[in-house]
Amino acid sequence: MTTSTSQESKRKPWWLLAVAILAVGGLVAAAMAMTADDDESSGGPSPGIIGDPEIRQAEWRFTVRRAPGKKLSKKQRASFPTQRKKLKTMAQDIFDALFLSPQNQGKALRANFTSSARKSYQRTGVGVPRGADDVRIRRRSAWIVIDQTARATLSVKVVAQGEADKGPFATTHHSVLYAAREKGGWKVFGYEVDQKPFKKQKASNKDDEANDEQSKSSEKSKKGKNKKKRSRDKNRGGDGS
Amino acid sequence: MAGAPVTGGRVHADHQPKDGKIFVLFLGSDARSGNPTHSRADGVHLAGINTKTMKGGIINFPRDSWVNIPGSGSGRINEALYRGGPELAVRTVESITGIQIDYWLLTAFEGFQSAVRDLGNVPLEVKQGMHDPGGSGADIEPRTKSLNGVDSLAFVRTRKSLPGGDVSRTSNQGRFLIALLRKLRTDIGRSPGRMFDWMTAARKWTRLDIPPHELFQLGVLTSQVRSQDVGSVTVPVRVGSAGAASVVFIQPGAQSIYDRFKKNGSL
Repeated sequence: MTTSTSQESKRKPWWLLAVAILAVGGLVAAAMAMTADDDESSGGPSPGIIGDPEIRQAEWRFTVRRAPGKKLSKKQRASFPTQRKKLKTMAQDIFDALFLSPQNQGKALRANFTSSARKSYQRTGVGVPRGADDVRIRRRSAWIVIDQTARATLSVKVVAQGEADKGPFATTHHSVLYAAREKGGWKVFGYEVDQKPFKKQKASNKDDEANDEQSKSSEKSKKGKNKKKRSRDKNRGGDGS
Repeated sequence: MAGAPVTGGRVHADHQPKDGKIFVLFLGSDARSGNPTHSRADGVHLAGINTKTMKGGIINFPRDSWVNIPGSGSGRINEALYRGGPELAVRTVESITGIQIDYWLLTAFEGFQSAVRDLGNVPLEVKQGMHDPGGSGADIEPRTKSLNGVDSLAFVRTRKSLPGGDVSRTSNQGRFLIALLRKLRTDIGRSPGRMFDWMTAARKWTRLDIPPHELFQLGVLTSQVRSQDVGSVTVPVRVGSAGAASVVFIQPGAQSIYDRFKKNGSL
C-alpha cells in the first residue's frame, strides 16, 4: 500500500505539470489574440477590410448546375463536388475582395484570373469607389454552370452601398466570368461586366426597408423597359447583314 | 454616387493569335445523311473575328465558283470537300484568299436542322416568302420573323425561288450566320450557362477541328462581337461555263475584299 501511494504521489506532479503547461499556453494564446484584435480596432478597420465588421453583410446565395451534354465519367463525377466548391470559393474571394477589401483585390484577382484578363478586368474600375467605407453588401449571388468539370460560367450579382470620398454610394454590379480549369486550378480568361449606380442614396440611411422598396420598384421599371426594348428589337427583326 | 458606369467584356484566351485575328471556315454539306466529309459543300463561308477591335466579317463563296483546288486541278469550290474532306476545302480557300484558316466546322442537312431545333428558333426576318416545294421544300410565309429547324434549313437551301439563284442563296447563308450570332448573344445575355448548350449542339451536330477548351474560348469570344459589327460579303462573280458545266468565275474585285479581311479580320 505504502509503495503504491508513494508511486501515485510521484506521478501526480507530472500530470499537474501538463495541465499547468496547457493552461499557461492557452492563456498566452488568448492574450495574443486579444492583442491582435486590439490592434485592428484601435486603428479602425484593418487595412484590408473597409466594411464595418458590425455591419451585417448579405449572405452569399449560390446556384450551381451541371451543363447539359455528355455524361460525366466516374472520375468527373467524383471530382464535381470539389470543383463546385472551388468555384464557389473563387466567386467569394473575388467579389468579397472587390467590395469589402479592395486592398486584397490584386491578390484575389491574381489567384483567379489569367494574367491578361486580370489586368483588363482591373482596368475597368469595378468594385467600390475610391475611399469607400462602411460598405454594406445588400445582395450577393452567383449562378454557376459547370461543363464537364473543366469549364464554367459564373454569373455574379452584387448590390452594395456605403460611404466614399464623394459621398454616399450605391451600386449594382453584374459580372459574368468565363473560367477554364488548367493545371488543377480554375482561371478566369474572359468576362463581361456591367456596374452602375443603383439609386440615389439619401443622406439618412434609417429606413432600409423603404430603400428596398425603391430598389424593387426600380428593378421592376427596368424590367418593364427591357421588355419594351425586347419587343422593339423583335419588331425590328433585322437581318444584320 | 458610385463612379461612372462600367460596361464591357473581354476574352483573353491563350490560344489567340498574336495579331488578334481568328478565321473559321464554315462548310455546309449537301449530304442528306451519312458521312458529310465526302460530299459537296453547298455552303462555303470564311468567318473572321478581330479580337482587338471585336469586329468580324464573313466572306460567302457561291458553291459554283470555279477555282483551283490544290493538288487536284480546277473545279467548283464545292468539290474540294468531296475530293479531300474539310482539310482540302480549307487549303482551297486559303489558296484563293491568302488567309490562314485556324479552324473548320462542317455540318449537313440533318445536323443543321437538329442543331437549330435544340437551340431554339433563329430570329431572322424573311420579308418575301419562300415557296419551293420541288426543291428545298421551303414554305416560308412573307414577314416571318423567326425560323425553326425545318424552315432554317429550307432558308439556307432555297435558290430556285430567288432572283439571283445560287448567289442570292449564298448571301442568305451569310445572313443566317449573322442571325445565329445574334441569337448566341441574346442567349448568353439571358443566361451565360447557355454557352454550354451551344457547345453541346456544336459537338453533337457538326464536325469540327476545335478542341472543347478552345471551342469554349472561341464561343465566348464570338458572343462578345455585336452582330452589327460583322459584315457579310458575297464574292463578286460572273456567270460562265467550264466545258459543259455551268459555273461562276470569281471577279478580280474579290482580291481587295480578301486583302481587307486578311488585314483587319473584319469587313
